[in-house]
Amino acid sequence: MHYEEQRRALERFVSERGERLLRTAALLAGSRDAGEDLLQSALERLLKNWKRIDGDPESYVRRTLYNLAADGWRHQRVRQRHAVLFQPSPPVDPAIAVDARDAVVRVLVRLPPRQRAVLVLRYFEQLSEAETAEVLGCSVGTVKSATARGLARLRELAAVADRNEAAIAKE
Amino acid sequence: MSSDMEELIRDGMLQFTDTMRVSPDLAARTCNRYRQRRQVHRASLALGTTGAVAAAAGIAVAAHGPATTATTKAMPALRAHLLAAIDSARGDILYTRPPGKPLSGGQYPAFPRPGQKVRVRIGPAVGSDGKIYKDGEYTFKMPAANPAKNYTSNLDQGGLRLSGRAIAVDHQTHRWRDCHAKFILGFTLDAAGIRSEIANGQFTVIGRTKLRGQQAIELRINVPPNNEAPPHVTADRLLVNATTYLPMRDYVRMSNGQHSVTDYVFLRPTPKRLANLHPTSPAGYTKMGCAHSAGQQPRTRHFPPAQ
Repeated sequence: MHYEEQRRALERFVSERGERLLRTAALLAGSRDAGEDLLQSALERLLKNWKRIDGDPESYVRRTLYNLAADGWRHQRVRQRHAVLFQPSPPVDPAIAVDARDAVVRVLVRLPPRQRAVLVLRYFEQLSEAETAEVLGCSVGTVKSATARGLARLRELAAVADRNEAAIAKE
Repeated sequence: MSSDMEELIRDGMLQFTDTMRVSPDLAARTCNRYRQRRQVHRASLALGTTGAVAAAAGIAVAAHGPATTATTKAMPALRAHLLAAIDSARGDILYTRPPGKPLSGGQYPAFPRPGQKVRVRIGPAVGSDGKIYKDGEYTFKMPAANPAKNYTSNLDQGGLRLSGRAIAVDHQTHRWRDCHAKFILGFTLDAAGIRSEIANGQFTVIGRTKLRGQQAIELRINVPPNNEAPPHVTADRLLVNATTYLPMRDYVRMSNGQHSVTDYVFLRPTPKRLANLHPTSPAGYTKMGCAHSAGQQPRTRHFPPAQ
């Protein structure tokens, strides 16, 4: 595909499907900016393989997002370059209730990529277990167990987050 | 399985993503980057495998201004120098500071080996009012040779899970603690990580420059894609001393848009310097118990600059 033709085709694709894909990518990556980075990587793969894709390119990009998210974890650099620092404890206003929905997403991004991906597919994209398995290239049994483990881990992390916030509020 | 939790998850995800919009230049950026990668790939095919590094270095140099281009012959030698520098500085104290600011903190030894006792002073942290608000020290044993399994995952601070002595002094509330605790620490300069990057050639030489009156070599560290919980490093430039090959300065950009500049100073350990790794708790401060010692965990963040 000629460069200009390619650019136009991609712009059309992004204007039609980009927002939906960005939201999925942001949930997988943990933030809007990281999600857009992830989406950009997936779109590059689309450019590379567009001619060979059989079917809807959106499905291809979605599958690529999930695979890249999982790959990013496997190749993750665990080294941190920055000194660990204290931050001043933020003033805690007991009158401000912690929004439970916000808390859930904050702990969602702390799940291992496979569990996170399954929960995003099942509850954000509203796919069935079979559809989820097809996107991730795994069995339905794997989807079921990852869902159960992900939900259990969410509950556990949410409880720890609540305890920590309560401990900070007491100080 | 609780349907309340499932509803909460879905509502949370919808709320989190509700206002997200794609950047207007995403398609154009993607095309440009795709095109650049294809150019590097074609260059590497033309030059052969070893040429890929030079090709990448060439593009990097062109993008960042005139500088000395490293040849592929020089890269193995540079790698050897960088690794030898780490070995030579293992027993030093490593200090970090924002450029032009006083030395603060300190880690000893600079590049700890597994099983070694490590002391890390965090602080004194200075607030925007110029006053010291926190200080602390962690003492622990460096974990086993393969620390990967000890690293936390998906936590916003990331780093090694450790346990040891944690001293925390809060100058705002005039309280302090000295407890055995579990904590998570990211390392300023992690020898294992740097060695891995250097040994795998995961850097590009940008060129030479001068820093603090000394000749320095500027490297771009090739940061892999990271879909970990934010924030995380998206770009990293390291300046190393052209004579000693020790790190001098690091420029880092984070996924949340923050950027930081950190200077590194390596000093031989003297009794006075080692004593200064211990924070002082002034007379009149209240010593707290250790019941909540696991509650507050340090977060991996940039040093808040004194303003």
